[in-house]
Amino acid sequence: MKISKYVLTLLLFSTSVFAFNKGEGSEFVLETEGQKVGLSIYISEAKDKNLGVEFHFGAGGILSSNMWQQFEMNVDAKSGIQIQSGYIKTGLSKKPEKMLREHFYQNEGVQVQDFLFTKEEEISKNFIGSETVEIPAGSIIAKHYRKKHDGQTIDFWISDQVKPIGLVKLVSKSGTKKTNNYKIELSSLLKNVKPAINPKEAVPMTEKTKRLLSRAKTQ
Amino acid sequence: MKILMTLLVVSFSTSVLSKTVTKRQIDDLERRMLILEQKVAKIAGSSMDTTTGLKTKDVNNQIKQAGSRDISSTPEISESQRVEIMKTLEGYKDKKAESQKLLDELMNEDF
Repeated sequence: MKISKYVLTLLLFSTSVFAFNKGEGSEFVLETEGQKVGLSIYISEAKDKNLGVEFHFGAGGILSSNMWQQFEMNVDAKSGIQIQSGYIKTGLSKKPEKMLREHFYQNEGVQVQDFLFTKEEEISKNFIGSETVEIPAGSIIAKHYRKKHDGQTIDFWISDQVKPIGLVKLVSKSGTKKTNNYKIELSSLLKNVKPAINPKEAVPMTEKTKRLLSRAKTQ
Repeated sequence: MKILMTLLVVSFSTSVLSKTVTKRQIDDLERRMLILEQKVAKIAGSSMDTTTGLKTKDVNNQIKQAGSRDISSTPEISESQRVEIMKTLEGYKDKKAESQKLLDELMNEDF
């Protein structure tokens, strides 16, 4: 599963102009290649220009699984948004591991830089219209945008009613890459989420995790 | 002519009234649906945001997690966990054997 790609795709919504409150976020249902995965995104830290966003990927059932990723970002009006550091933790690891910079950005799929809009006019050129969207969380009027990148079409709907993340729905379609066909829908807003990762406890990334991320990247 | 006018007025009034009733029924149904959705959300451990009407979960300062195994889906357990599981399994086998023995004895007594 291309976890990192999804993570980076969604960073956009966490770095927009909405107000950030620690512990607040959104829970989504991520559907890809016939599989459904729970994805939660929430604010782990919000201090001045420093923003922390944590992602939780979880699949329930007998083969349940958990993985958390946390990114520390610097938000500046002049230089934009920059990822300072990233951490990863799996269900069995006792301590979080520090991610390498190469894991922040991927060479395929949706690139994080495509979504790091710091100015209103940057995103407005992709605006399609305002639409009523039916999602597992309920019904909402959201702004529909469309982006095309390297044979991939991404339709996404955002609304400031679902702040701080802002994402309501995202549909990615590609005729060339099967892994670029996925859908993300808001299932619930979240409050008072405790981050699973404490960056102060982070250790260097193990070979096992490096292999795991490489596998996720190539799948 | 008077009859025709009366018929037209009655027809128009009935049409308007039926529309009003339909709209009222729809509003009533929507209100009841919202109450039901709120009840379902409450049972599922979440609530409905009153301003947006969307589902909201208060995690109550807990870590988000779906289960007990990690994303790699590799069944890795420590040695102590393995021993503990084997002990539990052995205990289960013993109990099952005892139960079976008891059942056999009971059956023999009856016949």
